[in-house]
Amino acid sequence: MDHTFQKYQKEAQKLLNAKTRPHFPKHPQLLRKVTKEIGSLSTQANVQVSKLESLVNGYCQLAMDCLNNYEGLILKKEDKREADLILITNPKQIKIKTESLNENSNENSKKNLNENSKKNLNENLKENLNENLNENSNQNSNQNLNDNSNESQKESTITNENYLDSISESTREIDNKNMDENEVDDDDFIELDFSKDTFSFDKSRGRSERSSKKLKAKNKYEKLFQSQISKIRETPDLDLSLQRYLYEAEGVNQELNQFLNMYSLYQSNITKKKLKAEGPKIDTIQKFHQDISLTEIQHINLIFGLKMRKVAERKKKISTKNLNKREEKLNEKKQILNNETLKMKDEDVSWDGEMLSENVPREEQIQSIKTHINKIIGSEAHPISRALKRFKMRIQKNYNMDLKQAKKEIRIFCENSAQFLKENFAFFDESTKDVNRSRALIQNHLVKSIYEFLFPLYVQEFKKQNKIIENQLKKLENHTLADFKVRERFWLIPEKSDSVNENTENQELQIYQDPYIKAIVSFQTIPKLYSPIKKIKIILKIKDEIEEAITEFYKDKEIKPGYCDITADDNLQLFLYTFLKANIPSPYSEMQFLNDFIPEEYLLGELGFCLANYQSAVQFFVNKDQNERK
Amino acid sequence: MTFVTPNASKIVILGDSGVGKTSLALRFTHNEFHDLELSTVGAKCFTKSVHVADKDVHFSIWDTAGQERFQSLAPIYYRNSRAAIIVYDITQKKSFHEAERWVDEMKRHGDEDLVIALIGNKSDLNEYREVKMKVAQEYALKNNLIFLETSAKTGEHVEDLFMKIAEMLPSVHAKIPENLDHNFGIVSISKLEEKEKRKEKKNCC
Repeated sequence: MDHTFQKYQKEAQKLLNAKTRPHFPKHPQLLRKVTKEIGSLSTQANVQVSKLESLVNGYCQLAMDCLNNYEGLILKKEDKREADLILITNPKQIKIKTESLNENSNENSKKNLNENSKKNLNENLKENLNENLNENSNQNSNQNLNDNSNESQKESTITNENYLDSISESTREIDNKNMDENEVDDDDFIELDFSKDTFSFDKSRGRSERSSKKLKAKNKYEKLFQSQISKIRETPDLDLSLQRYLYEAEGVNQELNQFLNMYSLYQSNITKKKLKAEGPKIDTIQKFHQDISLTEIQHINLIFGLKMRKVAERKKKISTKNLNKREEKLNEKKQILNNETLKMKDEDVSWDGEMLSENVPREEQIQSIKTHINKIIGSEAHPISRALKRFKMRIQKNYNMDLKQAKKEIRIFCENSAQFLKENFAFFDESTKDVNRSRALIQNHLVKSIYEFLFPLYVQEFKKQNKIIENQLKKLENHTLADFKVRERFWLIPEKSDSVNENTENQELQIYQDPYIKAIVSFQTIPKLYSPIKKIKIILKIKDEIEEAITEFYKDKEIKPGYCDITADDNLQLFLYTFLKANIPSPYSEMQFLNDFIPEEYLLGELGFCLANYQSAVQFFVNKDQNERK
Repeated sequence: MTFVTPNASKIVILGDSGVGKTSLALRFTHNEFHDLELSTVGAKCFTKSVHVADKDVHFSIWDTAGQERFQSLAPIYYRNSRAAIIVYDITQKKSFHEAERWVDEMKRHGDEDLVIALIGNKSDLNEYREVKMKVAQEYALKNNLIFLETSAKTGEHVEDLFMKIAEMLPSVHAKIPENLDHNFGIVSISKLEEKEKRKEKKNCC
């Protein structure tokens, strides 16, 4: 009928044709009904659906990312799991879509009908299933499984281990019977589960239609059932791990459900507020996303926070296992120390031991923070990345923004988002280190993304200073290494060898090439980069390239030890020389930019030293001009 | 290169050119003087940690340019530093006067808690000595400085210098658990003395 209809039909067919996941539930009936529902709705609503769809997809992706972080029991089967997750999310997506559609057509539909139809459908499905099962397997085994699965479903929220135990018990009981039957039964029960979940959309069909469909569905279901059995027989490696893996998927599914419920609530609020007055428009939807307040998002994000907390707990457990060996060694050391020192200092020693044991996993944690923040920024749906977008939009609009104001707003934004992360994610330490780190990373990203608007402000603000330096650089344009009082050994003038007498013209061209050309070229890339940290890393690279040039020059020559030690003086002189030759545009505002946006954590280390070099080069040229004026 | 530990202490090395600032830092961080295999040793920011008072103290040592025309750039390097090592060459009287000038500057522009060390380098060249040890020692006492004569060539007293600085840094004793009162007391007294001496000096001026 419609474009969407065809789309969902395809999805349904994909579900049916999936060969690699015999254990996974398939609901052809549901999908068919859903597609018909969607087909009956207006095209206007469909536009909205596609919009919402993309949003939901974003959330699902984020949830997937969370899952990937999960140190799952079946890491080896990652591919399979991902595929299944997509399958799990699909019916949910459809559910959300239908829900949102329902909200739009709420004026026409009646709630009473909904409830009735739900009950009816549930009963129908149960009957169907029971009949099917009767035909294919013993009633006793079914009942056992029923009990087991129901119990385990109830307990599933409590702990992993309990559930796994219950599953293993159930499998032991079933061990005597055929493997094929077990697996099929499991599948069916999960199917029931899903049917409960997804029956929230409204049905406008009567019983009479259903009874006729019942027979058709029954026939089709039987076929499907048999095909499933045949497929399962083809795959022999169905065992406990698969069940575990199913359980995990289910747990995620439950969380997703919770989350999606909240999301739909939030969505309905918005539609109630805005759509009543204006009618459905794409523009209004876009506006909603700009208007979302942080508190609302926090609410939604709490679920992800919980997820991450679980992950962090698991990680801790694993790291403690790894550390046990180290602790044993440390204990031995402690004993030795105890023998040597007085008992008074017991506390001291234990404190020292803690320090050592904590040092190891910290680096991993730093890495995990980095990757996590990259993920946050990469995803479309996360509140921080959305806030980033909004911030960018705002700056784009206020083109005449003051530099001070811009800096202030950036600082506030970064602090807020760091605080937000601190409150919602478990892997942050109580100390401020992690918060600072994440703030630094977010700041760097933010500055990078609005660089095109931010840097012109710097150029305007420091016009005078830039001019002074640029004039100075022009005057000194022809300065050589000697003029900078660089020691003669670092001039790196190659000696003319006798064999080069022929083709002298070419040789001369080569000879007078700047020995530090590499460093100069890389210096010139600084204005092309947007990220402040990358800019400063270029300066570090320049220093290395200067050293490289010198070592290469003296590689084959016999020199006294220490002859080529580059002291701080030489370093600064050579840096000034490259600064002059590179002659980058607006160097002063470049310096101020770096000064403002290099995070404090970096300033004590090597990068801070590089920034100091850059600053002193700028100041050197400014001062030189002032001195001449005097 | 990435994140430096936040509790790292920045140390700046000042002094006339050619007194051996870089080699002093090199001797301490890598325990080497003239490396025979690698002909170039770039001037950088050196890092090393020392274990003092049951605590790791991380140093981030900044080497500076000593030439006169770069003296106006020094504030860029020494700001936010916790300690300053002012080096002179015992075989050059001129470098000692330069050191005196640096001490004055650091007293004026440095933090209140700044630890200052006066170092006579090249103590292995005793035959060519121009600056008497007594003169320097008295000057150091008067100005409340750490004083040592070191040799980057032989490594004499280099380790001691940094250990002494580590002990003097205020942050080292700040985080020691309160149970160790005796340790804490000693430091706080010495600190008080320092402050009193500074006040006296200010009054004199």
